[in-house]
Amino acid sequence: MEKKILAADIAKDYFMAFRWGNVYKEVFSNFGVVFCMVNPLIQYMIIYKGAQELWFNFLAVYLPFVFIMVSVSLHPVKLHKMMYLCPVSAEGRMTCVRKAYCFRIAVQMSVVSIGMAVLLPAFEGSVLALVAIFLNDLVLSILITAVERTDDKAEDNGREFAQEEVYKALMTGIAVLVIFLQMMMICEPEPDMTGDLIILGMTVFVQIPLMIRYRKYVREALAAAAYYEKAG
Amino acid sequence: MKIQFDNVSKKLGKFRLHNISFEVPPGYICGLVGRNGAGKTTLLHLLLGLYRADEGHIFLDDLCYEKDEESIHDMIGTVLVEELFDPVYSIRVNADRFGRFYTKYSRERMGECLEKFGLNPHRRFGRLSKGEKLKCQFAFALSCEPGLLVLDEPAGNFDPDFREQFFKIIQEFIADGTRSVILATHLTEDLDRLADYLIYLEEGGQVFAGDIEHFRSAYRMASGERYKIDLLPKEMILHIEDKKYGAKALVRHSRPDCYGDALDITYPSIEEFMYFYSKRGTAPAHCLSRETGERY
Repeated sequence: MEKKILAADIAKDYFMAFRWGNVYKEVFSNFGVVFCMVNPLIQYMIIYKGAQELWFNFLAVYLPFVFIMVSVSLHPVKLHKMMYLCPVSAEGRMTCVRKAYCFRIAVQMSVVSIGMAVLLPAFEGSVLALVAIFLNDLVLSILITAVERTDDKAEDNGREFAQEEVYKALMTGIAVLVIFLQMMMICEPEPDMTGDLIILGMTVFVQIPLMIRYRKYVREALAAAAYYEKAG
Repeated sequence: MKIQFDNVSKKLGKFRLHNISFEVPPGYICGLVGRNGAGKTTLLHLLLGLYRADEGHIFLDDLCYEKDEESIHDMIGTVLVEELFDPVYSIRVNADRFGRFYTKYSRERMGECLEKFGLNPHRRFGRLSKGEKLKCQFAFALSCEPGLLVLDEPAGNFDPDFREQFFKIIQEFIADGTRSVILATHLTEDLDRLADYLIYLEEGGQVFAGDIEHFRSAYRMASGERYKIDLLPKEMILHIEDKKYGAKALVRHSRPDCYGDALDITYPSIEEFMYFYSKRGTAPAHCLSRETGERY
Protein backbone atom coordinates (compact mmCIF):
# COMPACT_ATOMS: atom_id res chain seq x y z
CA MET A 1 0.00 0.00 0.00
CA GLU A 2 2.91 2.34 0.77
CA LYS A 3 4.02 2.15 -2.86
CA LYS A 4 0.69 3.61 -3.89
CA ILE A 5 1.43 6.82 -2.01
CA LEU A 6 3.32 8.33 -4.90
CA ALA A 7 6.09 10.84 -4.53
CA ALA A 8 4.53 12.72 -7.44
CA ASP A 9 1.31 13.15 -5.43
CA ILE A 10 3.25 14.48 -2.45
CA ALA A 11 5.07 16.99 -4.64
CA LYS A 12 1.88 17.99 -6.46
CA ASP A 13 0.02 18.53 -3.18
CA TYR A 14 2.88 20.66 -1.88
CA PHE A 15 2.94 23.04 -4.82
CA MET A 16 -0.84 23.13 -5.31
CA ALA A 17 -1.19 24.58 -1.79
CA PHE A 18 0.31 27.84 -3.03
CA ARG A 19 -2.97 29.44 -4.08
CA TRP A 20 -3.98 32.98 -3.29
CA GLY A 21 -7.07 31.88 -1.39
CA ASN A 22 -4.98 29.61 0.80
CA VAL A 23 -2.25 32.20 1.28
CA TYR A 24 -4.79 34.77 2.41
CA LYS A 25 -6.54 32.33 4.73
CA GLU A 26 -3.45 30.75 6.33
CA VAL A 27 -0.86 33.49 6.14
CA PHE A 28 -2.24 37.01 5.90
CA SER A 29 -5.00 36.40 8.40
CA ASN A 30 -2.45 35.12 10.95
CA PHE A 31 -1.09 38.14 12.81
CA GLY A 32 1.93 36.30 14.22
CA VAL A 33 3.15 35.17 10.81
CA VAL A 34 2.58 38.56 9.23
CA PHE A 35 4.41 40.27 12.11
CA CYS A 36 7.45 38.00 11.72
CA MET A 37 7.54 38.51 7.96
CA VAL A 38 7.11 42.25 7.99
CA ASN A 39 9.67 42.91 10.77
CA PRO A 40 12.84 42.58 8.66
CA LEU A 41 11.26 44.67 5.91
CA ILE A 42 10.47 47.47 8.34
CA GLN A 43 13.98 47.20 9.71
CA TYR A 44 15.44 47.54 6.23
CA MET A 45 13.23 50.48 5.33
CA ILE A 46 13.78 52.37 8.58
CA ILE A 47 17.39 51.64 9.51
CA TYR A 48 18.86 51.41 6.03
CA LYS A 49 16.32 53.73 4.42
CA GLY A 50 15.65 51.08 1.76
CA ALA A 51 19.14 51.68 0.38
CA GLN A 52 19.27 50.53 -3.22
CA GLU A 53 22.82 49.24 -3.09
CA LEU A 54 21.83 46.87 -0.28
CA TRP A 55 18.56 45.60 -1.64
CA PHE A 56 20.22 42.68 -3.46
CA ASN A 57 21.79 41.32 -0.28
CA PHE A 58 18.61 42.00 1.64
CA LEU A 59 16.36 40.16 -0.81
CA ALA A 60 18.74 37.20 -1.05
CA VAL A 61 18.18 36.61 2.68
CA TYR A 62 14.69 38.01 3.14
CA LEU A 63 12.85 36.22 0.33
CA PRO A 64 13.83 32.69 1.41
CA PHE A 65 12.78 33.62 4.95
CA VAL A 66 9.36 34.76 3.70
CA PHE A 67 9.06 31.63 1.59
CA ILE A 68 9.71 29.45 4.64
CA MET A 69 7.11 31.29 6.73
CA VAL A 70 4.50 30.95 3.96
CA SER A 71 5.38 27.32 3.25
CA VAL A 72 5.17 26.30 6.92
CA SER A 73 1.81 28.06 7.27
CA LEU A 74 0.35 26.44 4.15
CA HIS A 75 1.39 22.88 5.00
CA PRO A 76 0.08 21.62 8.32
CA VAL A 77 1.07 18.12 9.33
CA LYS A 78 -2.21 16.54 8.41
CA LEU A 79 -3.62 14.38 5.63
CA HIS A 80 -6.66 14.99 3.49
CA LYS A 81 -9.75 13.52 5.17
CA MET A 82 -10.23 11.05 2.34
CA MET A 83 -6.88 9.45 3.20
CA TYR A 84 -8.28 8.44 6.58
CA LEU A 85 -11.16 6.68 4.82
CA CYS A 86 -9.09 4.91 2.15
CA PRO A 87 -7.75 1.40 2.74
CA VAL A 88 -4.36 2.57 3.99
CA SER A 89 -2.77 1.34 7.18
CA ALA A 90 -1.77 3.70 9.97
CA GLU A 91 1.87 3.01 9.06
CA GLY A 92 1.14 3.92 5.46
CA ARG A 93 -0.42 7.22 6.51
CA MET A 94 2.49 7.93 8.81
CA THR A 95 4.89 7.32 5.92
CA CYS A 96 2.88 9.70 3.77
CA VAL A 97 2.91 12.39 6.46
CA ARG A 98 6.63 11.96 7.09
CA LYS A 99 7.46 12.14 3.38
CA ALA A 100 5.37 15.26 2.95
CA TYR A 101 7.09 16.89 5.94
CA CYS A 102 10.59 16.02 4.70
CA PHE A 103 9.72 17.17 1.20
CA ARG A 104 8.54 20.49 2.58
CA ILE A 105 11.81 20.98 4.49
CA ALA A 106 13.85 19.95 1.45
CA VAL A 107 12.11 22.47 -0.80
CA GLN A 108 12.46 25.23 1.79
CA MET A 109 16.16 24.61 2.33
CA SER A 110 16.69 24.41 -1.42
CA VAL A 111 15.22 27.88 -1.75
CA VAL A 112 17.51 29.06 1.07
CA SER A 113 20.50 27.53 -0.70
CA ILE A 114 19.55 29.27 -3.94
CA GLY A 115 19.30 32.53 -2.02
CA MET A 116 22.71 32.02 -0.54
CA ALA A 117 24.20 31.04 -3.87
CA VAL A 118 22.81 34.27 -5.32
CA LEU A 119 24.15 36.25 -2.35
CA LEU A 120 27.63 34.71 -2.35
CA PRO A 121 29.31 36.63 -5.18
CA ALA A 122 28.23 40.01 -3.77
CA PHE A 123 28.66 39.09 -0.12
CA GLU A 124 31.56 40.68 1.71
CA GLY A 125 30.88 39.15 5.12
CA SER A 126 32.30 35.97 6.60
CA VAL A 127 31.35 32.37 6.01
CA LEU A 128 30.10 32.25 9.62
CA ALA A 129 27.31 34.66 8.75
CA LEU A 130 26.22 32.43 5.89
CA VAL A 131 26.28 29.36 8.13
CA ALA A 132 24.19 31.23 10.71
CA ILE A 133 21.66 32.23 8.06
CA PHE A 134 21.42 28.63 6.85
CA LEU A 135 20.99 27.22 10.36
CA ASN A 136 18.45 29.88 11.32
CA ASP A 137 16.34 29.04 8.29
CA LEU A 138 16.63 25.34 9.11
CA VAL A 139 15.25 26.00 12.58
CA LEU A 140 12.28 27.81 11.08
CA SER A 141 11.79 25.08 8.47
CA ILE A 142 11.09 22.34 10.96
CA LEU A 143 8.30 24.25 12.66
CA ILE A 144 4.84 22.77 12.53
CA THR A 145 1.78 25.01 12.48
CA ALA A 146 -0.51 24.83 15.47
CA VAL A 147 -2.97 22.09 14.77
CA GLU A 148 -6.55 22.71 15.88
CA ARG A 149 -6.77 21.26 19.32
CA THR A 150 -9.98 19.75 20.52
CA ASP A 151 -11.23 20.60 23.96
CA ASP A 152 -10.18 17.09 24.98
CA LYS A 153 -6.54 17.57 24.10
CA ALA A 154 -6.25 20.94 25.77
CA GLU A 155 -8.04 19.53 28.78
CA ASP A 156 -6.16 16.25 29.06
CA ASN A 157 -2.69 17.39 28.08
CA GLY A 158 -2.90 21.06 28.91
CA ARG A 159 0.58 21.25 30.35
CA GLU A 160 2.23 19.48 27.43
CA PHE A 161 0.22 21.50 24.94
CA ALA A 162 1.30 24.73 26.63
CA GLN A 163 4.93 23.59 26.69
CA GLU A 164 4.85 22.86 22.97
CA GLU A 165 3.42 26.29 22.23
CA VAL A 166 6.09 27.91 24.41
CA TYR A 167 8.87 26.10 22.54
CA LYS A 168 7.40 27.12 19.22
CA ALA A 169 7.02 30.76 20.31
CA LEU A 170 10.61 30.80 21.62
CA MET A 171 12.01 29.31 18.45
CA THR A 172 10.08 31.72 16.25
CA GLY A 173 10.92 34.72 18.41
CA ILE A 174 14.61 33.92 18.53
CA ALA A 175 14.67 33.21 14.79
CA VAL A 176 13.15 36.62 14.10
CA LEU A 177 15.71 38.24 16.42
CA VAL A 178 18.51 36.41 14.64
CA ILE A 179 17.11 37.57 11.29
CA PHE A 180 17.19 41.10 12.64
CA LEU A 181 20.87 40.72 13.56
CA GLN A 182 21.62 38.97 10.29
CA MET A 183 20.11 41.88 8.36
CA MET A 184 22.55 44.12 10.15
CA MET A 185 25.43 41.87 9.18
CA ILE A 186 24.25 41.58 5.59
CA CYS A 187 23.61 45.27 5.16
CA GLU A 188 26.63 46.71 6.99
CA PRO A 189 29.36 47.90 4.61
CA GLU A 190 32.17 46.46 6.75
CA PRO A 191 32.21 42.80 7.77
CA ASP A 192 32.01 42.38 11.54
CA MET A 193 33.50 39.16 12.90
CA THR A 194 32.19 39.87 16.42
CA GLY A 195 28.65 40.26 15.17
CA ASP A 196 28.95 37.08 13.11
CA LEU A 197 30.21 35.16 16.15
CA ILE A 198 27.37 36.46 18.31
CA ILE A 199 24.79 35.38 15.76
CA LEU A 200 26.44 32.01 15.26
CA GLY A 201 26.67 31.57 19.02
CA MET A 202 22.95 32.26 19.43
CA THR A 203 22.20 29.80 16.68
CA VAL A 204 24.44 27.02 18.01
CA PHE A 205 23.87 27.44 21.75
CA VAL A 206 20.22 28.53 21.81
CA GLN A 207 18.45 27.67 18.60
CA ILE A 208 19.97 24.24 17.94
CA PRO A 209 19.22 22.94 21.48
CA LEU A 210 15.67 24.29 21.15
CA MET A 211 15.40 22.55 17.80
CA ILE A 212 16.59 19.27 19.32
CA ARG A 213 14.06 19.60 22.12
CA TYR A 214 11.33 20.50 19.60
CA ARG A 215 12.09 17.27 17.70
CA LYS A 216 9.98 15.40 20.27
CA TYR A 217 6.91 17.44 19.34
CA VAL A 218 7.56 16.95 15.67
CA ARG A 219 7.72 13.17 16.17
CA GLU A 220 4.48 13.23 18.16
CA ALA A 221 2.72 15.41 15.60
CA LEU A 222 3.81 13.15 12.75
CA ALA A 223 2.64 10.05 14.61
CA ALA A 224 -0.65 11.71 15.57
CA ALA A 225 -1.32 12.75 11.98
CA ALA A 226 -1.73 9.08 11.08
CA TYR A 227 -5.02 9.07 13.01
CA TYR A 228 -7.90 11.34 12.10
CA GLU A 229 -8.98 11.87 15.67
CA LYS A 230 -5.53 12.94 16.84
CA ALA A 231 -4.61 14.93 13.74
CA GLY A 232 -6.96 17.73 14.67
CA MET B 1 -22.13 -6.54 5.31
CA LYS B 2 -23.13 -6.99 8.91
CA ILE B 3 -22.67 -4.03 11.26
CA GLN B 4 -22.42 -4.65 14.97
CA PHE B 5 -22.08 -2.07 17.73
CA ASP B 6 -21.64 -3.60 21.15
CA ASN B 7 -22.17 -1.18 24.05
CA VAL B 8 -20.15 1.55 22.38
CA SER B 9 -19.45 4.84 24.10
CA LYS B 10 -17.45 7.84 22.97
CA LYS B 11 -16.75 11.16 24.61
CA LEU B 12 -16.00 14.21 22.47
CA GLY B 13 -15.51 17.35 24.48
CA LYS B 14 -18.74 17.91 26.38
CA PHE B 15 -20.76 15.54 24.20
CA ARG B 16 -21.03 11.88 25.01
CA LEU B 17 -22.36 9.07 22.88
CA HIS B 18 -23.22 6.30 25.30
CA ASN B 19 -24.23 2.65 25.30
CA ILE B 20 -24.94 2.25 21.61
CA SER B 21 -25.77 -1.34 20.74
CA PHE B 22 -27.30 -2.62 17.56
CA GLU B 23 -26.80 -5.20 14.87
CA VAL B 24 -27.69 -4.45 11.26
CA PRO B 25 -27.91 -7.63 9.19
CA PRO B 26 -26.52 -7.70 5.64
CA GLY B 27 -28.88 -6.65 2.90
CA TYR B 28 -30.57 -3.94 4.98
CA ILE B 29 -31.05 -0.24 4.48
CA CYS B 30 -30.54 1.29 7.89
CA GLY B 31 -31.92 4.74 8.60
CA LEU B 32 -30.11 6.81 11.20
CA VAL B 33 -32.26 9.60 12.58
CA GLY B 34 -32.16 12.09 15.39
CA ARG B 35 -32.26 15.81 16.03
CA ASN B 36 -29.29 18.06 15.37
CA GLY B 37 -26.60 17.23 17.88
CA ALA B 38 -28.05 13.80 18.69
CA GLY B 39 -24.82 12.03 17.73
CA LYS B 40 -25.50 10.79 14.21
CA THR B 41 -22.27 12.09 12.73
CA THR B 42 -20.29 10.82 15.71
CA LEU B 43 -21.77 7.38 15.25
CA LEU B 44 -20.91 7.45 11.56
CA HIS B 45 -17.36 8.56 12.35
CA LEU B 46 -17.05 5.59 14.71
CA LEU B 47 -18.41 3.31 12.01
CA LEU B 48 -15.90 4.69 9.52
CA GLY B 49 -12.99 4.25 11.90
CA LEU B 50 -12.28 7.97 12.08
CA TYR B 51 -12.88 7.80 15.82
CA ARG B 52 -12.11 4.91 18.13
CA ALA B 53 -14.64 3.95 20.75
CA ASP B 54 -13.76 4.68 24.38
CA GLU B 55 -15.76 1.65 25.45
CA GLY B 56 -17.35 -1.25 23.65
CA HIS B 57 -16.62 -2.90 20.32
CA ILE B 58 -17.46 -2.30 16.70
CA PHE B 59 -17.51 -5.16 14.22
CA LEU B 60 -18.09 -5.06 10.51
CA ASP B 61 -18.51 -8.54 9.07
CA ASP B 62 -16.81 -9.74 12.29
CA LEU B 63 -13.74 -7.59 11.54
CA CYS B 64 -12.56 -4.87 13.89
CA TYR B 65 -10.62 -1.68 13.20
CA GLU B 66 -7.86 -2.52 15.64
CA LYS B 67 -6.71 -5.43 13.49
CA ASP B 68 -8.31 -5.10 10.08
CA GLU B 69 -8.50 -1.41 9.29
CA GLU B 70 -7.42 -1.71 5.68
CA SER B 71 -9.78 -4.58 4.89
CA ILE B 72 -12.72 -2.75 6.44
CA HIS B 73 -12.01 0.49 4.62
CA ASP B 74 -11.74 -1.43 1.38
CA MET B 75 -15.34 -2.54 1.87
CA ILE B 76 -16.87 0.84 2.67
CA GLY B 77 -18.04 3.54 0.27
CA THR B 78 -18.66 6.92 1.86
CA VAL B 79 -20.61 10.05 1.07
CA LEU B 80 -20.29 12.72 3.75
CA VAL B 81 -21.62 16.24 4.01
CA GLU B 82 -18.08 17.66 3.95
CA GLU B 83 -16.09 17.47 0.76
CA LEU B 84 -13.88 14.44 0.58
CA PHE B 85 -12.17 15.27 -2.69
CA ASP B 86 -9.48 17.87 -3.19
CA PRO B 87 -11.06 21.00 -4.71
CA VAL B 88 -7.92 21.80 -6.70
CA TYR B 89 -8.01 18.72 -8.90
CA SER B 90 -10.54 17.48 -11.42
CA ILE B 91 -13.05 14.74 -10.62
CA ARG B 92 -11.05 12.25 -12.68
CA VAL B 93 -7.73 13.05 -11.01
CA ASN B 94 -9.30 12.86 -7.56
CA ALA B 95 -10.96 9.54 -8.33
CA ASP B 96 -7.73 8.04 -9.68
CA ARG B 97 -5.68 9.34 -6.75
CA PHE B 98 -7.87 7.78 -4.09
CA GLY B 99 -9.22 4.91 -6.17
CA ARG B 100 -5.81 3.31 -6.47
CA PHE B 101 -6.00 2.32 -2.80
CA TYR B 102 -9.17 0.30 -3.32
CA THR B 103 -8.83 -3.25 -4.62
CA LYS B 104 -12.11 -3.10 -6.53
CA TYR B 105 -12.03 0.46 -7.84
CA SER B 106 -12.83 0.63 -11.55
CA ARG B 107 -12.13 3.63 -13.72
CA GLU B 108 -14.69 2.45 -16.24
CA ARG B 109 -17.39 2.12 -13.62
CA MET B 110 -16.55 5.59 -12.32
CA GLY B 111 -16.87 6.96 -15.83
CA GLU B 112 -20.23 5.24 -16.28
CA CYS B 113 -21.56 6.63 -13.00
CA LEU B 114 -20.39 10.12 -13.82
CA GLU B 115 -22.08 9.96 -17.18
CA LYS B 116 -25.27 8.65 -15.61
CA PHE B 117 -25.22 11.50 -13.08
CA GLY B 118 -24.49 14.10 -15.74
CA LEU B 119 -21.02 15.07 -14.52
CA ASN B 120 -18.00 15.96 -16.63
CA PRO B 121 -14.97 14.09 -15.22
CA HIS B 122 -12.58 16.85 -16.26
CA ARG B 123 -14.28 19.58 -14.30
CA ARG B 124 -12.45 20.83 -11.25
CA PHE B 125 -14.05 19.47 -8.11
CA GLY B 126 -13.95 22.85 -6.41
CA ARG B 127 -16.08 24.37 -9.17
CA LEU B 128 -19.00 21.96 -8.70
CA SER B 129 -22.19 22.86 -6.84
CA LYS B 130 -22.92 21.20 -3.50
CA GLY B 131 -25.28 18.70 -5.09
CA GLU B 132 -22.81 17.88 -7.86
CA LYS B 133 -20.04 17.27 -5.34
CA LEU B 134 -22.22 14.81 -3.48
CA LYS B 135 -23.14 13.08 -6.74
CA CYS B 136 -19.45 12.85 -7.55
CA GLN B 137 -18.66 11.30 -4.16
CA PHE B 138 -21.58 8.91 -4.60
CA ALA B 139 -20.25 7.88 -8.00
CA PHE B 140 -16.83 7.24 -6.50
CA ALA B 141 -18.30 5.24 -3.63
CA LEU B 142 -20.20 3.03 -6.08
CA SER B 143 -17.19 2.57 -8.34
CA CYS B 144 -15.24 0.97 -5.47
CA GLU B 145 -17.83 -1.84 -5.23
CA PRO B 146 -18.24 -1.58 -1.48
CA GLY B 147 -20.04 -3.97 0.80
CA LEU B 148 -21.36 -1.04 2.84
CA LEU B 149 -22.45 2.42 1.78
CA VAL B 150 -22.30 5.07 4.47
CA LEU B 151 -24.30 8.15 3.51
CA ASP B 152 -24.51 11.22 5.70
CA GLU B 153 -27.46 13.38 4.66
CA PRO B 154 -26.87 13.36 0.93
CA ALA B 155 -30.44 13.47 -0.36
CA GLY B 156 -31.27 16.96 0.89
CA ASN B 157 -28.97 18.47 -1.72
CA PHE B 158 -30.20 16.45 -4.68
CA ASP B 159 -32.75 17.72 -7.16
CA PRO B 160 -36.06 15.75 -7.17
CA ASP B 161 -35.15 13.83 -10.35
CA PHE B 162 -31.85 12.67 -9.01
CA ARG B 163 -33.34 11.83 -5.63
CA GLU B 164 -35.55 9.24 -7.26
CA GLN B 165 -32.56 7.89 -9.16
CA PHE B 166 -30.54 7.86 -5.95
CA PHE B 167 -33.08 5.80 -4.03
CA LYS B 168 -33.47 3.41 -6.96
CA ILE B 169 -29.69 2.87 -6.98
CA ILE B 170 -29.73 2.24 -3.21
CA GLN B 171 -32.42 -0.38 -3.58
CA GLU B 172 -30.55 -2.06 -6.42
CA PHE B 173 -27.38 -1.96 -4.33
CA ILE B 174 -28.83 -4.11 -1.57
CA ALA B 175 -30.79 -6.36 -3.88
CA ASP B 176 -28.30 -9.24 -3.66
CA GLY B 177 -28.79 -9.46 0.10
CA THR B 178 -25.10 -9.20 1.02
CA ARG B 179 -24.55 -5.46 0.94
CA SER B 180 -25.88 -2.85 3.34
CA VAL B 181 -26.55 0.87 3.42
CA ILE B 182 -26.58 3.16 6.40
CA LEU B 183 -28.25 6.48 5.69
CA ALA B 184 -28.31 9.39 8.09
CA THR B 185 -31.02 11.80 7.08
CA HIS B 186 -33.61 14.32 8.24
CA LEU B 187 -35.85 13.40 5.32
CA THR B 188 -37.75 10.77 7.24
CA GLU B 189 -40.43 10.32 4.57
CA ASP B 190 -37.75 8.70 2.42
CA LEU B 191 -36.87 6.30 5.21
CA ASP B 192 -40.52 5.43 5.70
CA ARG B 193 -40.60 3.89 2.29
CA LEU B 194 -37.04 2.56 2.06
CA ALA B 195 -35.56 1.64 5.40
CA ASP B 196 -35.57 -1.86 6.84
CA TYR B 197 -33.76 -0.93 10.01
CA LEU B 198 -33.98 2.17 12.15
CA ILE B 199 -31.62 3.73 14.65
CA TYR B 200 -32.98 6.73 16.52
CA LEU B 201 -30.57 8.74 18.63
CA GLU B 202 -31.36 11.44 21.15
CA GLU B 203 -28.77 13.45 23.10
CA GLY B 204 -26.08 10.83 22.57
CA GLY B 205 -28.28 7.96 23.67
CA GLN B 206 -30.01 5.24 21.73
CA VAL B 207 -33.77 5.57 21.81
CA PHE B 208 -34.52 2.80 19.38
CA ALA B 209 -32.49 0.41 17.26
CA GLY B 210 -34.14 -2.41 15.43
CA ASP B 211 -36.06 -3.73 12.53
CA ILE B 212 -38.53 -1.17 11.23
CA GLU B 213 -41.32 -3.71 11.42
CA HIS B 214 -40.58 -4.12 15.10
CA PHE B 215 -40.68 -0.34 15.50
CA ARG B 216 -44.02 -0.21 13.71
CA SER B 217 -45.40 -3.07 15.72
CA ALA B 218 -44.35 -1.47 19.02
CA TYR B 219 -46.01 1.94 18.59
CA ARG B 220 -49.22 3.45 17.24
CA MET B 221 -50.69 6.88 16.66
CA ALA B 222 -54.10 7.25 18.28
CA SER B 223 -56.32 10.05 17.00
CA GLY B 224 -59.74 11.06 18.23
CA GLU B 225 -61.51 12.86 21.05
CA ARG B 226 -59.22 13.90 23.85
CA TYR B 227 -61.25 12.31 26.61
CA LYS B 228 -61.23 8.97 24.78
CA ILE B 229 -57.44 9.01 24.51
CA ASP B 230 -57.29 9.86 28.21
CA LEU B 231 -59.16 6.63 28.89
CA LEU B 232 -56.20 4.59 27.67
CA PRO B 233 -53.87 3.20 30.39
CA LYS B 234 -51.39 5.89 31.40
CA GLU B 235 -48.36 3.67 30.84
CA MET B 236 -49.32 3.32 27.17
CA ILE B 237 -49.39 7.03 26.40
CA LEU B 238 -46.06 8.67 25.57
CA HIS B 239 -47.34 12.09 24.58
CA ILE B 240 -50.64 13.69 23.63
CA GLU B 241 -51.18 16.76 21.53
CA ASP B 242 -54.44 18.57 21.17
CA LYS B 243 -55.35 19.52 17.65
CA LYS B 244 -58.11 21.80 16.46
CA TYR B 245 -60.46 18.88 16.05
CA GLY B 246 -59.58 16.27 18.63
CA ALA B 247 -56.22 15.05 19.86
CA LYS B 248 -53.36 12.85 18.72
CA ALA B 249 -51.14 10.64 20.83
CA LEU B 250 -48.18 8.34 20.45
CA VAL B 251 -48.93 5.14 22.34
CA ARG B 252 -47.14 1.90 23.08
CA HIS B 253 -48.98 -0.88 21.35
CA SER B 254 -48.93 -3.08 24.43
CA ARG B 255 -52.68 -3.49 24.88
CA PRO B 256 -54.49 -3.28 21.55
CA ASP B 257 -57.75 -4.31 23.19
CA CYS B 258 -57.93 -0.91 24.90
CA TYR B 259 -58.45 1.18 21.79
CA GLY B 260 -62.10 0.60 21.15
CA ASP B 261 -63.87 1.83 18.02
CA ALA B 262 -63.81 5.53 18.77
CA LEU B 263 -60.10 6.07 18.17
CA ASP B 264 -58.41 6.11 14.81
CA ILE B 265 -55.27 3.94 15.15
CA THR B 266 -52.51 4.23 12.57
CA TYR B 267 -48.85 3.34 12.25
CA PRO B 268 -46.66 6.29 13.17
CA SER B 269 -44.38 7.69 10.53
CA ILE B 270 -40.77 8.06 11.60
CA GLU B 271 -41.23 11.83 11.77
CA GLU B 272 -44.29 11.52 13.99
CA PHE B 273 -42.51 9.04 16.19
CA MET B 274 -39.48 11.31 16.57
CA TYR B 275 -41.62 14.36 17.29
CA PHE B 276 -43.91 12.74 19.84
CA TYR B 277 -41.22 10.60 21.45
CA SER B 278 -39.00 13.61 22.02
CA LYS B 279 -41.86 15.25 23.89
CA ARG B 280 -42.63 12.33 26.20
CA GLY B 281 -42.78 13.30 29.82
CA THR B 282 -43.67 16.91 29.01
CA ALA B 283 -47.08 18.45 29.64
CA PRO B 284 -49.63 17.70 26.92
CA ALA B 285 -49.47 20.30 24.20
CA HIS B 286 -52.41 22.48 23.27
CA CYS B 287 -53.12 24.41 20.14
CA LEU B 288 -53.95 28.12 20.20
CA SER B 289 -56.69 29.61 18.10
CA ARG B 290 -55.28 31.90 15.46
CA GLU B 291 -58.21 34.29 15.71
CA THR B 292 -58.63 34.63 19.46
CA GLY B 293 -55.38 33.27 20.89
CA GLU B 294 -57.38 31.06 23.19
CA ARG B 295 -56.39 27.53 24.02
CA TYR B 296 -58.52 24.68 22.82
